Amino acid sequence: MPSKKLFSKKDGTIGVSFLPPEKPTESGITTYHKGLFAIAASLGIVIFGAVWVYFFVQVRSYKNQTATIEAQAGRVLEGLNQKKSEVDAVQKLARVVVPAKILFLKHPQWTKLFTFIEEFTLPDVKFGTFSGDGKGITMAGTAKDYETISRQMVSFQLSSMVRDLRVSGLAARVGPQGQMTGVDFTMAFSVDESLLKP
Amino acid sequence: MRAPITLSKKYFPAMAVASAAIPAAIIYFLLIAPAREVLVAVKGDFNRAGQLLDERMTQADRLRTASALLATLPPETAVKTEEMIPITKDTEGLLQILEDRAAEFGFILRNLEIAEASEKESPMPQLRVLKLSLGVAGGDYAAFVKFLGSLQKTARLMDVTSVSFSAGTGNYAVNAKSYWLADGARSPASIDADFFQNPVFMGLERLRAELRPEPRGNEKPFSR
Repeated sequence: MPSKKLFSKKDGTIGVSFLPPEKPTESGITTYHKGLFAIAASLGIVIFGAVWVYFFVQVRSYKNQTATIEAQAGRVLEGLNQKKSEVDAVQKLARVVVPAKILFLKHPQWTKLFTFIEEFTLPDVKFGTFSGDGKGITMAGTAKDYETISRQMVSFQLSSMVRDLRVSGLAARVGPQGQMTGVDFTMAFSVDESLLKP
Repeated sequence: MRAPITLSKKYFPAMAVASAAIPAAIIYFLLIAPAREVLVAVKGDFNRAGQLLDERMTQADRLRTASALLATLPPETAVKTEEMIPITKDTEGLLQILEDRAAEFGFILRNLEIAEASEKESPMPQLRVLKLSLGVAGGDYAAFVKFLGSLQKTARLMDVTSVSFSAGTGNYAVNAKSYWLADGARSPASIDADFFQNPVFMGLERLRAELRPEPRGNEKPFSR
């Protein structure tokens, strides 16, 4: 390998170097570029490795925790199975309680309706027939006279429980001497739902 | 020789990125992506196990509460609760209750129809409905109102839907609904303690007598 003369202007000496002169590569990529690339590649490997290790550790940790939880759930189930008769007794009642609670809200209290009718019917009015389905009521009866029927209407209408009261089929009963012995009538009205509620 | 040198230098960043990205992508798809999938699956298992444990713990807690509640209830209360909505139609029980109730107030049960309503007519999916259509005769208005009162407080729930009568004839017609639990009705894990303090529940009475044992055997079951 040929030596290279190095001239120093400072002290005017001449040095000789036997190192090969750095010559640019064919591609023009220097050591600096190579270094950068090496660092980036190493960094990439480290990052990927770290991510993979993270996943590995996480998977292991989750698997361990899952096994612990499953064992715990198994013990709870075992405990429940041991109390099967108790569970059955509770479930038997619980099956009834839920729908019964809803049914209770509308459990019709017909005695309340008849108490209401008794309370609002005038002494001179006698009802002979009754038909009702909890919403609408139709009653046919006899009153002393027409005025009594109108007073009966007012009596029912005074209550906030009665709506849409109608009277039909008014017909006077005439006695043998031509005198009025009473008036037949039919009264229909709607009742508030709350009247039948418990 | 200058031109290729300039070209390589010029494209070095792109080449560097490409030579880093390609192995990175290979590593990602071969190692990281499957590991990530495994992690997601394991995490899913973990969450499911957690939910299962939560459910069972809640179930156990509810059982503890319900057991404590049951321990404080008189045994009669549990029997009454089960009688309200039986697990079968219990038509024989209904017959007995209706006849006994009618007789108590001086009525005879003149006619009775019991029909199973369709599922659509059920107010709740966990219930089935029996439609009752009955006629009683023999008593007066006051006795009839007492009879209705008795039906509304019978432990076997009966909702009277319509009533009609002619006071003069002494014939009274009643339509009612009774219930039984539908097959496969889901059972909630807890019992509402307030239910047993409900005034309607407290007003219900077990008015059903046990069926009297009858001697069996009849040689002429079709003779008049």
